[in-house]
Amino acid sequence: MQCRRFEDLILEYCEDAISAEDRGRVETHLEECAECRAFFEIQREVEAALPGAIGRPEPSPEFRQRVMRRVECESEARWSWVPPALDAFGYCALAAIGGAVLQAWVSPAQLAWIMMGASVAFAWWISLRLLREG
Amino acid sequence: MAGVDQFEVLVEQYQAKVFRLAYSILGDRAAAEDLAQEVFVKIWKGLPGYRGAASLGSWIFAIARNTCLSHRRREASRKTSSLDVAGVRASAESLNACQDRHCDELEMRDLLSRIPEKYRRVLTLFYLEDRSYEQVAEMLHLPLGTVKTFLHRGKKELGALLATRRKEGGLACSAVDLKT
Repeated sequence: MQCRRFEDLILEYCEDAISAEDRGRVETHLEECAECRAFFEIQREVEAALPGAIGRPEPSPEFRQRVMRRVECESEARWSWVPPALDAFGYCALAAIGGAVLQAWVSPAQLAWIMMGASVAFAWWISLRLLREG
Repeated sequence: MAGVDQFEVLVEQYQAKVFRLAYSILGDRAAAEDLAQEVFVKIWKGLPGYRGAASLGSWIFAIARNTCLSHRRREASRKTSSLDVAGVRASAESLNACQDRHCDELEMRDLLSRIPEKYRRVLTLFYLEDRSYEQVAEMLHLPLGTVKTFLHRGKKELGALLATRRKEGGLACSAVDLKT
C-alpha cells in the first residue's frame, strides 16, 4: 500500500474513533484511491467480525461463591497452628500448677521422679495422638 | 468476619475484569475462570502486604497478569495455540449448518489464532473492555501508544490474512455456499 499515512486513519475511521476533520480527509482520499478503498473494505469486514469472534465471555454465576469458599479454606489453614499452640500453652500451665502443688507435699527427690514419669507419660500421649492424626 | 465481607465486595467489583484479562491472555474460558479464582486467592493472601504504592486496580491487574503469564509459560510446551482452539475446531465441524454471519465470526476466530499473541491479547481485551484504550493500557500495563500500535498492527495482520484467503478462494464458508 502506497498511502501508509492513511492506514491508521482508515483503521480509526472503521473504529468510528476519528475526528470530524480527519473523517473528511479519509472520505476524500477513499474516493480517489482504489488501493486504500480495498484496504478499507477488508478492514471494515475485520471490524464487523471481531466483536462476534471474541464474544462476551463472563465469569460463571457461581464464581464469587467459589472464590469465597477457597478464601475461607485459606483462612482456616492460615490459623490452623493456633489450636496446637493453645494446647501447648495449656499443658505448660497445668504442669506449672501441678508442680507448685506437689512441691508442698513431697520431697524434691520424689518430685523429680514424679516429673520424670509425667514427662514420659506426656511424650507417649503426644506420640500416640500424632500417630492417630496421621 | 469483616475482612472476608470486605473482600467479597472486592471480588464482586473486580471479578469480571480479572476474568476478561485472564481470558485475553489464555484464550480459554474454563482456564480463565480457574486462573481468575487463583488470582483472587493470591490477592487475599497478599492484601496484608498491600501498601497502596500502586492503585488497588493496578495491583490486582498485575497479580492477574503475572499469574496468567506464568500459567501460559508452563502450558506453552503442551499447547501450541490458544483462543479456545478446541472451541474453534468444534464449531468448524458444524460449519455446514452455519449462517453467513456466523461463518465470518468462525473465520475471524481462526484468523485471530494466527496473529502474534501480543496483538491478539490487546485486540481481545479492547473489545471485551468496550473499546477503551485506557482500560487495556492499565490492565496489560502498556503505554497507551503501544496499545494503539498493537491494536492497529493486529487488525492489519488480520486484514492481510483475510485478503489472502479471499484471493486464494479457500474459504470454507464460500465452499459451503457454493454447494448449497
